[in-house]
Amino acid sequence: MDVYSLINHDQCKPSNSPPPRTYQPSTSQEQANCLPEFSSFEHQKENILPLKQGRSSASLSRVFSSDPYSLGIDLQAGHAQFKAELENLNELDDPFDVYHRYIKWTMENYPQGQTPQSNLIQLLERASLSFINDSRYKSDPRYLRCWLQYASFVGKTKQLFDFLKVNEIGLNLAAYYEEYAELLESMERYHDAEEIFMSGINQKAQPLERLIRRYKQFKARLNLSRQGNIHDLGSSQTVVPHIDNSHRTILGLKTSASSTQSTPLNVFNQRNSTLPSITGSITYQHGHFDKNSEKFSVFHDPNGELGNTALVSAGNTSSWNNYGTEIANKKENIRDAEKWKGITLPQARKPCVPTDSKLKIYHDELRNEKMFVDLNIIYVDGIEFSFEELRAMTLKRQSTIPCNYDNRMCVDNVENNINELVSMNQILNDEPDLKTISPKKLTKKPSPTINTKAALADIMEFFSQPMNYEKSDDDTDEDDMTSVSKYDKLFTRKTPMNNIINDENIAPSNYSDHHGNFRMVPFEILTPIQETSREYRSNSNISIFQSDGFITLDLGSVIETPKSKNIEQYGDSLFKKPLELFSVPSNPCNPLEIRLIDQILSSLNPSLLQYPGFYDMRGEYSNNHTKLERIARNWDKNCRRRTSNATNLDEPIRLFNDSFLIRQKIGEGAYGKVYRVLDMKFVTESHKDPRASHALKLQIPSTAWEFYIIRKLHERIISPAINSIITAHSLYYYKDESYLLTELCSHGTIVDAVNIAKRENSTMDEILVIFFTVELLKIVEAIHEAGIIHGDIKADNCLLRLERTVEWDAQYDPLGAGGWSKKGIKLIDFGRAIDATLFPPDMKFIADWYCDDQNCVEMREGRPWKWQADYYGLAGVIHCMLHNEYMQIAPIRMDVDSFSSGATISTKKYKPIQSFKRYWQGNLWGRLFDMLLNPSLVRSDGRLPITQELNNIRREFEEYLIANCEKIGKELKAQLKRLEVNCEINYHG
Amino acid sequence: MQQFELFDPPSDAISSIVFSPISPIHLLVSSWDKTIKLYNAEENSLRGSYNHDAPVLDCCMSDETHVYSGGLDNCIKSFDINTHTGFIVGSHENAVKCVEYSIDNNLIISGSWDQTVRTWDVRDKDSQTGVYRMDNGGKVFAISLVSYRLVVATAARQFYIYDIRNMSEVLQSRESSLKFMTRCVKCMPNKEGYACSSIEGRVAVEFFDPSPEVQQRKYAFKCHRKMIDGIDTVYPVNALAFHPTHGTFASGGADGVVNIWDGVNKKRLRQYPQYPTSIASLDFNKDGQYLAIASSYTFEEGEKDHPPDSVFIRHISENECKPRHLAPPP
Repeated sequence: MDVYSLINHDQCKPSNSPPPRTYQPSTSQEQANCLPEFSSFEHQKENILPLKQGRSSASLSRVFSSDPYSLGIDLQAGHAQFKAELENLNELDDPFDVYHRYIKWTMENYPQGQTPQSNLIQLLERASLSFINDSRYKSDPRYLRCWLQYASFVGKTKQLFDFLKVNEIGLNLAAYYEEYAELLESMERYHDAEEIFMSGINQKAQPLERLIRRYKQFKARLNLSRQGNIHDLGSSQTVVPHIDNSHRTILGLKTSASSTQSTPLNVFNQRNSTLPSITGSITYQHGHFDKNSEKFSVFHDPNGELGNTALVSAGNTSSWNNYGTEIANKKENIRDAEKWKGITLPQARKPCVPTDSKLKIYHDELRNEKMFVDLNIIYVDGIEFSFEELRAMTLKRQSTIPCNYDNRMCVDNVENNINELVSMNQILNDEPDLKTISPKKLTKKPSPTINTKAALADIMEFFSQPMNYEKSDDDTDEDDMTSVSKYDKLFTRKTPMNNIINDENIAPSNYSDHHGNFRMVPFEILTPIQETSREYRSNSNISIFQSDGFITLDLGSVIETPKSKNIEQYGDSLFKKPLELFSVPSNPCNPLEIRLIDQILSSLNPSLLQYPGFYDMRGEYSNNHTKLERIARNWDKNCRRRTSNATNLDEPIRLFNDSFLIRQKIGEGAYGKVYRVLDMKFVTESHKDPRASHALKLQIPSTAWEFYIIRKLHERIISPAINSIITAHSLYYYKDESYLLTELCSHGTIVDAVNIAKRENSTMDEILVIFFTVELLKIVEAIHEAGIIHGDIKADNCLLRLERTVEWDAQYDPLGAGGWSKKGIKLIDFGRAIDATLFPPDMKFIADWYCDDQNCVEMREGRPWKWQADYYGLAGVIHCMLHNEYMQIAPIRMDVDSFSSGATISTKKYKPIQSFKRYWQGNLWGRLFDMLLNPSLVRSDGRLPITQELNNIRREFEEYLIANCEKIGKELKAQLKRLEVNCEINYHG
Repeated sequence: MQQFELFDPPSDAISSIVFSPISPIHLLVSSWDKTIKLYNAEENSLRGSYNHDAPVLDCCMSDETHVYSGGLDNCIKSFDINTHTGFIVGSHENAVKCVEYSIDNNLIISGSWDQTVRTWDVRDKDSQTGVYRMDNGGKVFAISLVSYRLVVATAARQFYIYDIRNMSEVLQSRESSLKFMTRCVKCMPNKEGYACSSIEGRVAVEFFDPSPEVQQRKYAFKCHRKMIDGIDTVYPVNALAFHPTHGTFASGGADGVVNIWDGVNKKRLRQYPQYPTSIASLDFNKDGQYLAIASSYTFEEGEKDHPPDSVFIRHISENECKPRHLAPPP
């Protein structure tokens, strides 16, 4: 192929089209001088589609030499730009111009012609088909050329020209007739071709001179072939006179092998010599054609073209608007997709020839080598970073996903090298020497100073809260807007909690003395608060526990982000089902609303499925509740195993891969039932391992809420108060039932402690109550600091935590030394808990469940509440301990402010009805109850929570304990010991 | 059709593609869009998928129904395709980069940026059966398993060869023959050795047998280079895959090119037309009739626009990846 025909030097200049270019000579002088090297695209010359008008060498050079990646970007930008222009076609005077430039740009930038990236054919098709009826372009040479280019890809046929004719496109342009005639000539329909020329000339198609010239050339060729044939009676062909054949004709004979010209081959004689030739005026001899000169025998359809004239008669007025698209026209060429099964695929039989020479084993390196990757990014401080690590680091910075990738060693250096967001750099600039801190150490109970700022930044992302919420109500209850920052100090980047099993050596005892089954006692005892069963109809089956990523815990944005987009993104992932889109929950809202809980659980990040111990069995039914009930029933109060008929008491329940032996039912409420179970992993023939005992809470319908809350608490609380929160080992979440496996405490609840005191016709000793009060205050402080509201603090939910301790100092230590850390309270039952961090800081809640004296005033009165629910609950428990009775409160009106105008503002304060015993620490108690029952009156701004203030009073109680724990006859330690013994539950079996 | 593109590919970069060890038509694809997708390559349909909570870096199958995967969430997840249930097998302290399954030993093997390789037995409840720390602070970049041999490629160009029946002992530890960061390692199906590739356009072929005669046979060669503006531009070789029966292997580079090599005769057999973007992963199916090619930008130039990530399935004809003639026995 003659390469220079590809280059049109006149076109060695950048076009004036807007798309970006990588090669831009600045002055026209330079442009003229910038003849690119052929070698720059020589290696791709086969890939260059030749154009009639030639190609710009500059653009060829640019396209083939530039870096494919930046070229790719330029091309994409170009496409985008044109597409944008195409959007506005309706507004333009010359809309075709957009297509024209686009086509030109495409041809230049994709020398191969049609590729999936260039979409040249589609472009041409679209450009052509879009303006068929547009009168502006009927005589526009650009438009006609567009059609002709399109046709050159899909096939120039008579049909095309007919179509153009019907739609009156190009009929005033010489090019139409030239091309048409050329087509006809190639089909050897010389008469028709001549007719076309004539009609074009008659039409005075422009440019007329060129058309006439072409016609003359055509005629000359025709004459030549006629001459050749007349003389061709067995003799060799004579030398032909000079014919201006600028190109070879199809099937034409070359006069010699090296000739670039040819004479058209007359094929008529070979086959259909009996038929009158179409050209009419020329007669051909038949039969004696030089056999050597025939190259092909071409079939000439005798019936095909008869009757068809080259020109569609002008009388044909039927409109023909649809030329069809390339795909439709090629439908026979496209094989429909068939099933592959059973079909034999054709195999290439030829042996495969290696395309390359032997591999050179390397020992040396070339000098002019360039690494594609930037080594500065890969190697930092002598440490390698793989591409995936770099990508992960970029992701981590860009999003709020707490991507766990963590390579703190050289993070600051790496980031300095990558030109990305600089914010992290600032955070990391004043790092301590990271190299000495291994990532491992960071996960162990760190104090805020060890936590790197990077960790804090990540944690901020966990709990990012919108800080600009307006205070909507003029209620004096306001939330602490800065409470978010408090959370930062306490939250760690912990690895998920390990399953901790309480190592308790518990002598078996009678647990079922509990809970209202105390028949032996004549006097009234406190019964656990009976709850009305809540019809908790939850469509928990539609819960989805997948996170869709990029979701902060601000529920507002969780709900408003187009989740549907994410779902489509995951296609038909079988782990997801469509979410009901929520509007932002109103303020106040019902925190236990089923859809809200579902929504929260579904949008957790990391998702619930990530939590160790979460067993997602949503695909299965468990249907074990009857079995549990049946077996547990057989364990009677005295825990003597009743030999029963058909009940195998040792039939285990299987949850996921774990098996449990069912023992006693130890609790029941609206929430579900709690059973004592033995984990069979720890059960052997001979030995009763105390580690086997657990509590298993069965709930119908399934719920993961409590599991979530408990885990969150364990994650967020790092103080020793964590030991006062029940541990959730695992949650087996089935379609119909959920099983929460927790540790089992064997000393009963505060109710039991109170009852024991009652039994002895007295109340709990004050020092004991103070001890537990301090513990409770610590717990409430901790959970509030963690952003969690328990929501249901009552004596039944406070287990006595009286663990064995090796040494136990008689002197009380508030920090837990000397064994005191093993004694206290364990808070359970978080089924009504609220994670306040999920909501805006000013969010309040309303209770849609039945509320009575055991609930705080706001709940009872239907007013919004938040932290005060726990304060009230706490007060109730303390009251219980002090008085052996459930608390009842009464309002006291206090005239507080009188103004000069005479108006007075009076506030209501609540007080418990029962008064304190004189010998008690009335002052302390009074202030405590005052705070707990009227928390909004504590601060001058009335804001909640009042953690700091409670903290302060708690310290006062602690001081009292320190000073008075060893009063003769009322030693704290002795009392606790007695409690330990009296409250211990011995389980049999 | 000799080559077709998978419908419904992941929406973000593809980290790994693996054919099922049992079925010749099932292909597993893990992606930075946090999904693992299982395709029927023959029908070009998506059979199912599941998610992690963070980008997934590797996946594997133990049989027709069990899939294991790991990624930036530091966890190894097990998923049962039939019951659509999954659970977390365990976790590392940093991202899980590679996951393999040993059918002979019923072990999951995972390698992580936390510089450990861990083994897991899913038949146990607490499934971690071992933690093996790589020396020299080596973050695990790639692993490959054939029968009992495990090759672990880490940062700082180290290779560790183990017998997975006894992981407490490193059989051999070697420095890479290549001068730059390792990208990929794959064991030969004939269990004689492995091939590894680096970011510097080279592949090395090595042998397990430490005897000098065998070690003499090891070699490396240049590949995935392009002459641009007169400069030889050297691309990372991200992916390798051995043909299961012929012993030839494919390499995929960040230049978007896939080559087939005859390692014994040291010749290139074939080069496929360039793919739209970097080759992230390659795998032959179990009978060598399909080659799956993940054309997915591998971040070697940082954040940038790139062609969409896709998976191509190439039908391999009988002789296409066959060595030209039988090599003389070693």
